Amino acid sequence: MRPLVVYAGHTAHVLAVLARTGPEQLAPDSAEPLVGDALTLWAGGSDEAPGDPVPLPVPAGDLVPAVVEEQPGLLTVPLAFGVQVIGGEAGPDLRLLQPGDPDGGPLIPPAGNVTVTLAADRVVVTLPAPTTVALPVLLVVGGERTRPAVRDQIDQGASVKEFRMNLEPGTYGVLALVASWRGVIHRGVLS
Amino acid sequence: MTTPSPGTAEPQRPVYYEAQILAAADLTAAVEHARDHAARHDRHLHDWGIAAGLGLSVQPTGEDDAVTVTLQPGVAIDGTGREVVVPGAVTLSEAQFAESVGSGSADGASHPVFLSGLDRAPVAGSFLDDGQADRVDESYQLRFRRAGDERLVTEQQAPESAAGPGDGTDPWLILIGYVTWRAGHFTGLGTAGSVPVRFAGVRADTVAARSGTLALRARPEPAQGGAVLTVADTSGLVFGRYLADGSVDPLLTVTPDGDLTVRGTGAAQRPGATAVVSGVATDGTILPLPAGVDPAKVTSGTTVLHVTVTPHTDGTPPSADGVWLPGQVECGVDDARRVRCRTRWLRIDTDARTWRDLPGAASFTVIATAAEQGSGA
Repeated sequence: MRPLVVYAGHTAHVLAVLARTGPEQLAPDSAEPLVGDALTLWAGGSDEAPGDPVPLPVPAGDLVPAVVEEQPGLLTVPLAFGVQVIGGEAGPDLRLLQPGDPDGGPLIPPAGNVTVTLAADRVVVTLPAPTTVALPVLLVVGGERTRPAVRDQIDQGASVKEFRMNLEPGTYGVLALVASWRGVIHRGVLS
Repeated sequence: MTTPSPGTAEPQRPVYYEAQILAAADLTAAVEHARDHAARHDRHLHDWGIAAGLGLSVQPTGEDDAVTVTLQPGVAIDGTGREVVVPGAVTLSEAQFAESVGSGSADGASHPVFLSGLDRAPVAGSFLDDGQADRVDESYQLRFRRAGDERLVTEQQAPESAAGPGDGTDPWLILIGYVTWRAGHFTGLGTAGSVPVRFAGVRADTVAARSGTLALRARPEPAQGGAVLTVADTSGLVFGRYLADGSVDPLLTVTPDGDLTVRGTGAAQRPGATAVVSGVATDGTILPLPAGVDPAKVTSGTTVLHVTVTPHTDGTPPSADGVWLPGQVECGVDDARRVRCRTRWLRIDTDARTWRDLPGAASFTVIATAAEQGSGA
């Protein structure tokens, strides 16, 4: 059985996977049968930022379903994989997003990935190095109140993208998807 | 002896004898016999309409919202069985529209565009022409009408059964599309009103294949994702969709032995029957219903679901550093069958109580049981 994935149309990140036993399944026309109005990821608690999970809803309109070839680690770390979109159509073969880890495979979070920092007036997404091409970015910020998903890009030659927004003290979760880089879920506390 | 009314006379086939002096009428009769035969075939064994091409397309002129409307080449069969050929692309005439519809147009209204066949005398080719026509151009004519006049299409009467093709003096209107008009210019293609563009069809009580497989599809070409119904000696009845390589992905199959296989959720679940679907899903996805289960019956309670989810234990620790043990914080589904699966990873190789919650995947089984008839809610 080939799994059915839901990916972000703007950045091609795989966000959810459904692998059903039985005959080959076809991708539905939209992501809604698979996720409802939105796919809610979340930023889980930790000893550094305890508390309930912070929901990070990605609207179904930003998502696309596709049937893909099975890939080791896909069910464990969907955010490590991207769909290859050619001519507007999703190809069956996924690609492992950078930074790839030649030793640990896709499972262990590698060093040198996209980082997210929070400030009272902005969310900053930083690449390890300046990009040679403009990269689409999808950002979802949840916490004291959930904000609509933001589509933007990191310009060619830049390594940083600042998203201006007023963040009051509290616990926040951020889903940062930068095309071709492994997706990041960040949880932080603003005091 | 009764005199047949026009179009009801028996067909007559010319025959010739040795040394006969052939008059023009004799040769014309041979041509007319074949032409009448073809028209009766096209009229009685086919539904009239567009057979190929004849689409309307628009191109902005750069002048406000004005567009140029072009009729693509193609072929149609009219209701008399006459073949109407448009050999090349034709730009629709705004002057003709203004003359025939003119002030009868309203902004935004969809005006029907008709095509009809018309016999024309050919244009004189040289000074040697003596005025005696020895050819007929099987030509066509385009007509514009006011919005609402598309109903004229449905009011046309087919000729008598033995009649040959029309010559265009009583034009048979073939609707090829709609245009919109404003301030002396075409502004676009209109939307079909109560009468859609009509395409040629087939009338037959028996359709048989020679290859052993008969295919019925909704588009001229077998495009990927297109629906197709096939009947074959070997595979039986198959409904499915075309794949990229031209093969058919079966959604419904009835084998020659009568075995029925249905995919998807449209097949009705028999009362008292149990259906199952299983697999693996990541956090946040909505679990599917088994094939044949009606979501409305699940909502109403006449179909009962039993859902089991088991968390995957082969998750990924938060870091490559240290030794981490997983423990399940949450693994279940909500009322919408949405998977909630959360694993807490605890680092055990240090004294500090370091932990992190991460999403996970779960194996699932959904069992749907339909209530017996009369016992449902």
